[in-house]
Amino acid sequence: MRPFNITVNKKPVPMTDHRVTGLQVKEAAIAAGVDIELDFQLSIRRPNGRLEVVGDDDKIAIVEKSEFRAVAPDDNS
Amino acid sequence: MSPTYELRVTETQWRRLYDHLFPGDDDEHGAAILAGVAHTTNGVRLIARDVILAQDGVDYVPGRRGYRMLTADFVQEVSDRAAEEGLAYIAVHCHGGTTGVGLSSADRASQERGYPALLDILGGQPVVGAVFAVASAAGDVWLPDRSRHPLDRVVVSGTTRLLITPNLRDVDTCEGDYTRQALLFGDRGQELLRRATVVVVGCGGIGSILVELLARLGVGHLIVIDDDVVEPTNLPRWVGARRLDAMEWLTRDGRPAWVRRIGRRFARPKVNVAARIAKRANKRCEVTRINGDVSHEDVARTLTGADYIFLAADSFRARLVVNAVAFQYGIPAVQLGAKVAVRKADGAITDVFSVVRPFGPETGCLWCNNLIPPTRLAEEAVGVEQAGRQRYVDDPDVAAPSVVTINSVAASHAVNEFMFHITGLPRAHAGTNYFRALPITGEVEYTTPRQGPECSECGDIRASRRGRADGRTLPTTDR
Repeated sequence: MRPFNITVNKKPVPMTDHRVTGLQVKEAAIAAGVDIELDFQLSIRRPNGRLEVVGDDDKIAIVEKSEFRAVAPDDNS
Repeated sequence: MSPTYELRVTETQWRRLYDHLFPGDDDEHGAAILAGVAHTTNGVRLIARDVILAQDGVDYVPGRRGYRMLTADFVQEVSDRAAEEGLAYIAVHCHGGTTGVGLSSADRASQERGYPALLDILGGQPVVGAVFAVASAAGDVWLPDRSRHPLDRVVVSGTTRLLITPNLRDVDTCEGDYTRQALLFGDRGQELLRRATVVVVGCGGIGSILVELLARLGVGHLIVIDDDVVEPTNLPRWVGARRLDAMEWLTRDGRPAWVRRIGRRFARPKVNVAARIAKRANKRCEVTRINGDVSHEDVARTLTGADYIFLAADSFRARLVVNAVAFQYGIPAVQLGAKVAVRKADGAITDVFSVVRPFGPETGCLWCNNLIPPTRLAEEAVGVEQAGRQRYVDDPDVAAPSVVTINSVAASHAVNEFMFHITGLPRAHAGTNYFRALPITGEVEYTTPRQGPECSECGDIRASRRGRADGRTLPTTDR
């Protein structure tokens, strides 16, 4: 399959499959050097501009330049 | 004061029930609701788990003594399920009218005839007969001891909260202090704020701002929960905190360790400062202080009678418990926080954000959204709680960055959401999305949370926690 790039936190991540799980996106991003961890919360930006949370086991369709956010689950109060 | 009796339904359940009861034919229709039962400090709450519509002509037929009746087969089937699952059985039908409604003499006679037997079948759960008009509801709650109590209100919990009572009552004009803000949500909205019980879990930098804002809005009852004392490093971001609260001259850096220990022993509990902040802002605000950990059973129980929960604590155990309470007891909640993320390798700032994540009856839970990572929970359980809280630094003694302005964004947004919810102001559906403000880029992001279809906390599966109320134990540490 022809490789293509998506972005995770605005950084390019090479992919080969167009149907992947949320966990596979995070694994690929970490392999590409994006500064995240596997337990981060992942979201995909939909064509209408809104973000949607993607679970680790959720299967999603991705294309060239699909855009993701991955943020740490913890914060401080 | 006698306890109040309340039925809580989600917006989705309510729409389904309403459309069935009021299709526009001005006729009577029937249904049943199965509900978990919660005995709370604010009375008895029936938390709807399932709405079962009675099909006209099949389950809801011409009555032998009254106009219509639920068939014995329908009642048998639904009450059997209630008994099996330990839920209350609520029979529902509609009457004409709009803003006032009550049970008829035929309704009451029907209850007298049938409900003692149903109480026997249910074996310890209440039986309720409820009647709805377009904008009002009334009913009788029969308890296992055969005592009967009026159903005081129905609460529909969604993006906004809808409060339905037997009669729409006029509310006195609000006190003069509140006239400017009441121009936004009305005297009735102000009265709803006054009647609200709101919990703030965690009285740190964000929690202190929440308390200030909620009290100034006119919330009538605040429950503040925290097990910590004020430290000098809290002072720059605590509204209303004093150096004396932190015993700053004893606890500041450079003092001998034993002096700092003494200072810390006499430092003021955060909940005491929170109570002072609230009373200063609104002297009529009743404040319940709980100097304890929400992951303990007795503390967690104090949440179950709330109308809304703000979760501003750092631990994942706190998220686990509050998440369970929100779905088990049908209480809207919001988790909020702020973060300044630092790259371990070179100390560079990689991210700064404020975040507000609503969860509760109409949304997916914190589990479904990867916000309670099992590995972090496990770390906390083995006693490295600080490391779990502040994982972006390896050294647990290195404090996380925290800035009052970044905290304020989260607190203000969350209290705005609460205000719209509790006063029932209609609006777009931003209230169910996660909010994330990024001050470095000036961006604001809204993220739609997911809901796992088989989730054991918020899902529709039979084994889920949702709506089980007192019928399910909470995941507290002393269980």
